[in-house]
Amino acid sequence: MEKVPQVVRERLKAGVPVSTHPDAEVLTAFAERSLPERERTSVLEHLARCHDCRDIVALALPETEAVQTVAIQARPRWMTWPAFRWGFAMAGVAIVALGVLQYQRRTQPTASMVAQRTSAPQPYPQSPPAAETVPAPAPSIAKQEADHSVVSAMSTKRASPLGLDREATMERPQAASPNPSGNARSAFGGPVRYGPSQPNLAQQQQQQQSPARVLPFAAAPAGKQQAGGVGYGRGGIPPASESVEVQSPALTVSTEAKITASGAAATAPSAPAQQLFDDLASPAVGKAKAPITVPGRRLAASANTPQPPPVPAAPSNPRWSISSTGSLQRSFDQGATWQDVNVSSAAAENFTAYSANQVVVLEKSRARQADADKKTALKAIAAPVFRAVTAAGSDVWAGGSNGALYHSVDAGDHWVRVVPVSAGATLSGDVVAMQFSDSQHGTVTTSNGGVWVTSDDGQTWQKQ
Amino acid sequence: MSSTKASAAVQSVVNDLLAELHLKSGCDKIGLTRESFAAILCEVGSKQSAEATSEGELRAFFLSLRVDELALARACAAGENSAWEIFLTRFREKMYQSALRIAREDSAARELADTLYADLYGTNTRSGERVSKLASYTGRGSLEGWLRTVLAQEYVNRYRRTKRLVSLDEESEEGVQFQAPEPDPVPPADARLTQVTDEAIAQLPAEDRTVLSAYYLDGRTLAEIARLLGVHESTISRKLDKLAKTLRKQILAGLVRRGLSRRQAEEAMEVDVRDLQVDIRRGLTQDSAPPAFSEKSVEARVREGPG
Repeated sequence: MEKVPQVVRERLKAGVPVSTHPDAEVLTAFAERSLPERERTSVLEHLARCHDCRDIVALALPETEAVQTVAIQARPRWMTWPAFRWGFAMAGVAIVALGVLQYQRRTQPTASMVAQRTSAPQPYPQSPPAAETVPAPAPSIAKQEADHSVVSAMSTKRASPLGLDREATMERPQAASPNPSGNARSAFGGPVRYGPSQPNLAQQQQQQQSPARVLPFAAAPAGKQQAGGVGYGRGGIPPASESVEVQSPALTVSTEAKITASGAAATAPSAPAQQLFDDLASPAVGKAKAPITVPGRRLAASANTPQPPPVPAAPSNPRWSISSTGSLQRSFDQGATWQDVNVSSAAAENFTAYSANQVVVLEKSRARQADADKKTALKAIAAPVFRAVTAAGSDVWAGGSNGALYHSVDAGDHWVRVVPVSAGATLSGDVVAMQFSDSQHGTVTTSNGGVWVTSDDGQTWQKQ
Repeated sequence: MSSTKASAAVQSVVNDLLAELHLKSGCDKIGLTRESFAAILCEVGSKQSAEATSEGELRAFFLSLRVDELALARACAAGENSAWEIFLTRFREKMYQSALRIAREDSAARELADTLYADLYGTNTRSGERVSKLASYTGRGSLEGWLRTVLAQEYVNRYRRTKRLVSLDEESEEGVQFQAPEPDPVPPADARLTQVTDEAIAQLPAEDRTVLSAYYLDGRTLAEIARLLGVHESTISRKLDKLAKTLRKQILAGLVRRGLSRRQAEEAMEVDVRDLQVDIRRGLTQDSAPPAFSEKSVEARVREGPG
């Protein structure tokens, strides 16, 4: 670039001493480009000679988009991650433990157990027990082993039709069961007496008859307790106790899962946990599917292969940029990758839907302007060439050729075309610069020297 | 009297627009009465208007004011707690961040922000009146921008003061003469050159001169200047190029008009360039001079030095 002769520099310095410096108000208005032309020139006169004031204005300028230091919510991945695992582990444990408990309790419908649980028994639809069942010995609290073996005998016969299609589902619970039983105890705290016996039982069962495990899972949510009817030909207490037991562990489980899930602050863990809760809370519902196994598998799988949680509750605000070809781009990962943002189709929709609101008018009737602006909008529906973009949080303004001015309040998902009108004049030319000092006040500069100012987030505009 | 005429005009416009502006301002939420608000508007309008200001201009002026921020600032200045709460929530953090950007150093930034905050909060004068800097905010620019400007002003004032002290110290320390020796009698060519250059510069519009000063005297980058003026960086680059060419041409033409031959004129410019290099820092008649040293070295000194 060619330099001016040195003498020019010398003489620039030797200007007439400046009189009074403009006050902070005027300098601010200058920096924000909201000074009327006359005043702007006089400020420039002063600035041409006053080094200090030039410094002040330079220091007082707002940050540009390029160095936008939007405080993006740091996704607390490190935090949610272990909590996430914990949530799932606990939920998985809970499910398995519940299943095992279910399995056991069905064989021991006792008054004492009923006494432990005080929640109202759910209606427990019993299928005709007698027809399908093998006569079962009278269950008693102490005869856990016997009962279990009885049940397993029963279940063997019964489960064969089910076994085939359930086989696959058993793997997971088996894998999960040995470990969590100890945990299950601590998680629930309730049926302590079942705790220690569980692993032995489970293993015995599995060694003896693989399909045995099918029962608890099929039984618990499935309303049709065909197998369930087996030991409970008597009716009365057993169903009540069983349903009661189903409920409280369900409640415990869901609470546990929910607590840990909410601690993880991610939507994913709570979804399966929620599903678990739903499933468990409605054993009466005739869901034939194996809801426990499925979430169990899903959860167990998740516990093994950690995935970062999905989008956190508060979406972070993207960075904005304009490509060399004039298309609008945003990046959600601090500039690592950029996606093109299309304003026209969205804007076209919005415009036709909200044309009356979108038109920005000053001192004119909206109806009259709506037509004129529709025409302008239609003209510019083809994707504009952008030249400037500014954003404050999720409030974004983008401007470009042919007076294209777009506004988004949701970080660029939806756009509204804005056509500033002031005292009969419409914004024309290319938008070359925009400055929004906050969400309400902004200035738009056009290539033909127009300066448009708004103080209400683009509802009304004034041409300077 | 012109002043009463002007204030009467202001008054009538204020009365006209009061309802609308009052609604926009949200004074009610911050403990500012409608009457006080109207009085504030009149005050602001009077400061702004001259006798020649038309009613239309006044209306436009009032409508362009940020009345909500004006109301907030004035309510704070009056000591309203609800207003202060809002102010704090919105601006305290931003003030510190702006101070950090300006002072570029944490402790200096904190001090800057805290000092300003104290000024804004106001102190009681002897007569018991509360004096707050916020009372001078008139809503022409955004409050946030105003705060930044005031911070920058504080910073520049303090910085310049200490820097001048420092440069004197350094002068005596290093024994360097910053006062150039008495110049040789200026040859007539120089006088003509100076004159012609002055004329050429004076013909330039204020914006061009600002750009030149910012670039050559302050050493600002094209991007900074572009931001200053709200134009694109390439505009500034082109402008500087064009100015260099134009000035050169005009100076030559001017010298020729004053009797030099073209060759002589060119020589005069060249020679002058070499000579001027030496006493470029001397004889600064600008009201406020650009730094004698690079900012970095002085800054380091300021930090090490007292205060």
